[in-house]
Amino acid sequence: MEKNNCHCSNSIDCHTGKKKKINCLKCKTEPYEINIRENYPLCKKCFLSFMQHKFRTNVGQTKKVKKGANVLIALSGGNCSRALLDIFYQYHKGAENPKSGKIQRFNEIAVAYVDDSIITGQNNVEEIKKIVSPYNIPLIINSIEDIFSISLDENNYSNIMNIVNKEGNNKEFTLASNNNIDNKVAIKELFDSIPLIADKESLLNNMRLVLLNFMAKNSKYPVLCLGDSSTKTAIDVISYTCKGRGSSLPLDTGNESEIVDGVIMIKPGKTLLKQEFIQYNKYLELTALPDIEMSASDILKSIDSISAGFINDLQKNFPSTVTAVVSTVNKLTMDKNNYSQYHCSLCLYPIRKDSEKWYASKSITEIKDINNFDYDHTEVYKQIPQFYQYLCFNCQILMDSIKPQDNQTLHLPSYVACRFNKYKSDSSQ
Amino acid sequence: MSSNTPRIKKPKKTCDICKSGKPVIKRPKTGQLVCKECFYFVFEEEIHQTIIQGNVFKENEKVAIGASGGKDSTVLAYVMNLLNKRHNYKLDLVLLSIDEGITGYRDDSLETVKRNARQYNLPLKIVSYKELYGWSMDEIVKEAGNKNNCTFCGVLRRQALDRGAVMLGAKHILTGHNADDIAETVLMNILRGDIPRLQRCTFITTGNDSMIKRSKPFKYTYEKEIVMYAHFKKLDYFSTECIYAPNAFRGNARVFLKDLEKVRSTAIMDIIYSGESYENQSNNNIPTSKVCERCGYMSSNKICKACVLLEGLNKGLPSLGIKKSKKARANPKVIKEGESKEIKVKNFQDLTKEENCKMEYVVEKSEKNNEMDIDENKKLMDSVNNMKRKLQNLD
Repeated sequence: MEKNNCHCSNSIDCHTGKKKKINCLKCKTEPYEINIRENYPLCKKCFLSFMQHKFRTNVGQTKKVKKGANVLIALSGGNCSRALLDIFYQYHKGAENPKSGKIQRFNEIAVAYVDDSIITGQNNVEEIKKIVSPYNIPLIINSIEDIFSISLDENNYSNIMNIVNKEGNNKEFTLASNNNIDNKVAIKELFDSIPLIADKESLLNNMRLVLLNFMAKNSKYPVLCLGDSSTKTAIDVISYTCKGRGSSLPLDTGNESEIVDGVIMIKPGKTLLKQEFIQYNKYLELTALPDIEMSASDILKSIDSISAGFINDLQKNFPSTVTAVVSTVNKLTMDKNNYSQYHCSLCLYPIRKDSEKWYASKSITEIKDINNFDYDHTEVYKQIPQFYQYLCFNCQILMDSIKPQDNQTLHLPSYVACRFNKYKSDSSQ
Repeated sequence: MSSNTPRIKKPKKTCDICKSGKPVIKRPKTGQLVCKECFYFVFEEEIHQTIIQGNVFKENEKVAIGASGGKDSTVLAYVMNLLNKRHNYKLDLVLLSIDEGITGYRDDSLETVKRNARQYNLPLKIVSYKELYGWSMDEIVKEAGNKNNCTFCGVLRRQALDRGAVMLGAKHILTGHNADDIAETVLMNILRGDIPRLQRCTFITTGNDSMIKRSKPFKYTYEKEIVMYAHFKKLDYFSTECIYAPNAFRGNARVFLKDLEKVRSTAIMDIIYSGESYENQSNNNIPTSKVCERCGYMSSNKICKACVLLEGLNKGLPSLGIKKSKKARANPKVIKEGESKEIKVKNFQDLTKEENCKMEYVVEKSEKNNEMDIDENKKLMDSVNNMKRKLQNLD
């Protein structure tokens, strides 16, 4: 009777001290090999099919993706996207055989890689080629600096956005004609002018995502598959909240979202833990690029790294943390009435109404007469750059963080200028 | 060698606002270096902006300030008293304190509140757990052990504040929750998956549809600035932490927040912005508001949490309401004769304003206070209304 009530969770019987035989929860015949979810022990074979099954379910739940569409799979080379590429390939290949009884949902698959070596200093193009070559599928590579010469709406590269220092620690954002700037120099200068690692990371992530969407649109792939795991999603929820990006969180972390017309982003790995992807790669001996190592002092300057540490620590003590956070964010919605008709010129996500006035309305930075309490607090709204009306809250923070040196002119990509120009003329009509 | 090199004097830093005063604080919200005088102005007036933008008060309202004697509530009482006079809110302010019965902590902090009441000339009412529920926190800890103290204390305090407010005839309670507290709560509600609370926690006023509403005028005020304000103004506050166990889960979020603040001090405001934009359009998650069958207090179940906890304490089952009901009832403690406590909590619905409510401190109105200059009063009202119109139009 006592034995039946035993709640010992590990594989050692607390009463006899001998190893208990715990079988795989799925096949119930083989002994279990891994138990990443704590209460879900699986053997190797069942684990691999579990990964395929979860992936298949997630793809099946996408509503906007049309049958027979071409898919561009974004690959960073990390454990999650590496494993997801393999799972996607197996899923696609498996359905090619008519005897399999599976539906061929997609027409053609290809891989996209953004080379950000100019910012990170790590060139992984050769490793990426090695990863993709066994699959015999197209590989599209663009460098992050190409973001300066892309056009999202129409072939309009004529304008560019200049940033210069103005009097009183303010910045001026002006439209200028594009005099064939050197993309490499422009991006290097832009990132060098941002002191904080946290802001550099945000800008790089925004630009990378826009470039991936452009690559998908330009190469006629209406579906862009991102390799986000549930662990990454949970970390993003926390770090985006801390960066003031909460207003677009349902889209940022959603299963399928669209920021560029004609390209739907899907995240079929969103219900799988990072640890599961690592295990998948281990079982199938798939090589992935190691995570970027940061020094201890740099970790303390990065909101993404601090958030990752916070979630990972909690996950160790409370194994349901990641799933709880992801299911919380899945329930969040966006009420159109609270959002502007324009999307952010930089990250392309929706802008919450009056976000540019939010900080100014919550803080007083000027005093005209210290003895006069009858003052017009709203006067400070006039000092807000017009450009901020067309940026989301997080991108406004990013723009604030850019510190051009005296007499230096920094540039923003032409798609930003193009969007700003379009919105400005729309609103003046 | 070094003695020969001419010393270059660094230019003296001046206040970023008035450009003349000596800076005493770097504001975490704006990054500005400000002098004492400018700091007082922006600190007080930002709270005024929050109140006006949130449309927090009605004229002639009786408002109870939840006062614990700590830094937040002491500064809240001081600033509300000041703004009430400066901007003529026409509020009837009362201090309301809860005596949980924690020896060595609450008894000392209540002495601070009593001094504050005299210093600011505000009436003070103290309501004790012992008087309301028949249990002091010391007795509860003795009965239930050191774990889950904060569950008992938090649940009982919420109700005690409302009961105290009804006794005073106030329908509005102000609490000293600051921006750091709200940012912490946003993060905790995400981790807990509590969508209704995630939406609610950033509201400046909650409980609009219930009998007593609550507001947080310090919603956008940093903890650091509150401490500095109390320090510069030499306010009398009690700074000891509660002697019972700190809340571990909140502690995790607090440490994380402190790390974040080191990266970017505005992160706290950014979290509040994010929290304000979280929406959930489906109403499935919102529990229907009921009235507790035993005590008449609002509840989402037949019997409110406070009554379940008190039942556990009275019957010798202190884990009732904390652990699963079956487990909690499995090993009842044997209650000796004379130890049984069957104290009936007064029904909340039957509570009314006590005409002769026992006050700890009563204000003696001076003739000067009564004779308010009518012209000055009108001038102030016009300026407040003018600002209200401007802000509301722009929002």
